[in-house]
Amino acid sequence: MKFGTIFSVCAAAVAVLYGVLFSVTYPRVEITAGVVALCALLGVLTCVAVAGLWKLAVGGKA
Amino acid sequence: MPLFHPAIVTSLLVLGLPLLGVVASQAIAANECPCIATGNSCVRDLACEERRGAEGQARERAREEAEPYRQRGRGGLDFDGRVKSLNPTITTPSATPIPSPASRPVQPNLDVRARTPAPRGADQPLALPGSPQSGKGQARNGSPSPAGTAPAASDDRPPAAADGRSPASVPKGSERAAPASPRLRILETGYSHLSEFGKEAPGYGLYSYAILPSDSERAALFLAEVFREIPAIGDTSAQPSQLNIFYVPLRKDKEADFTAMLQTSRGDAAKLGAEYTKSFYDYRMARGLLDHICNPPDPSVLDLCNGDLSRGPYIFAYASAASHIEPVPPPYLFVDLSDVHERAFGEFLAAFQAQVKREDVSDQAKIKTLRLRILNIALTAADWVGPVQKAVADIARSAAGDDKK
Repeated sequence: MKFGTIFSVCAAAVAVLYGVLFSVTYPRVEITAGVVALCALLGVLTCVAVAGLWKLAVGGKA
Repeated sequence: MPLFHPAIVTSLLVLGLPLLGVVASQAIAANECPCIATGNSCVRDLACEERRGAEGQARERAREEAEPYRQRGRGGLDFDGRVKSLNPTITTPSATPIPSPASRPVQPNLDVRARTPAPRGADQPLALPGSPQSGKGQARNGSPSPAGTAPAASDDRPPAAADGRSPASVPKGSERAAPASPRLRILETGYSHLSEFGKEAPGYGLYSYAILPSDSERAALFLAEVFREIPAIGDTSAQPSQLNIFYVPLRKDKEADFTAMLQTSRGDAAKLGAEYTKSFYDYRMARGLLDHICNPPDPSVLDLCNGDLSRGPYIFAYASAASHIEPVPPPYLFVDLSDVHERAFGEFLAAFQAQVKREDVSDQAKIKTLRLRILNIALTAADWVGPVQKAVADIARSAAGDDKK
């Protein structure tokens, strides 16, 4: 499987996780498009950070 | 030196015999009757003995009657006419003046620790019979709930917004300012309307005010959240001394219009909030409340008072009706929502309702939390994401257009 596909799936999953956590933590706050976009952005950033760390760790050994 | 030295024996006899004689003569004089000398013999004086006996019985009876008070010990009445305090080691003389609640310094207690139950309705004036305020739902609320379903209040609830006295008759910072007795724990918060300074209904455990300096979209959103999150005071079930009444200033000349508007809005909180800020909210009263707090300000609100006070909204909570007190002495709870995102008002109002249930109402422990700070940052960031997305898309589109050219 391509790196881009795995990355996109993981980013989407993390974004959904962030959204769920947000709605559970703040039940009175309406989930708007801005909040969804923020969660998506944070999901991508998290996955980029994880991928960078992974490359650093595995690439260092190799 | 030997114990039976002649000098010691002589000294004891010299001192002891007269002493014994004095004690014996006192005892005889007190209790016994002298005998009547008849030649060489002495005959008992029966009349005297009878009289002495009667006196002794009377003394005994008096002692028995006084015994219950003596056995009570604490909180009873002493023979000296002194009222004993509950502390057995302290006796409060009756001459010591006990300060009346009115003469006590205005320092309402916002700490419910070590509180004793307050007598209910101790300072509640009676509703005027036949007055509009004596009606049940209207009496507490001043107006019905947004849904118009304010249930009938119990009879012991204080009348709302009218106590039969004109504002002029209410002295500034008077006896209504500070509750005489410690407060009970707050159980619920309910909103009501305040149409005039000093017209708060007495007897509630805590008095809160929604302060909006000016008509704005933020103010409308805040009031919408108030009407959504906080029930009308008529819909609460706790006793008044355990209620936090959340006052929203209402223009006195618009009371009738507001009732009509309530029927048309049909419980739509957003519409109600928008209409209220536009036409019904009394901004003059709100600014007056801010003036009361800031004239002179407590150190805890000094920075805020030195600012322009034009943003808001603000929530002010006090142990007693505060609209007619100037200056308002601390402790109090003053929540500044100027830097709070509009969509976070609901969470902050929920935190405020939790805060007033705390032992120390004024510590803001439920309001200044990491959770609410993160929410504020997240919502502000969410507002930025949309424009940034659009800007990036525009840049990409323009760059692609330049390449095609």
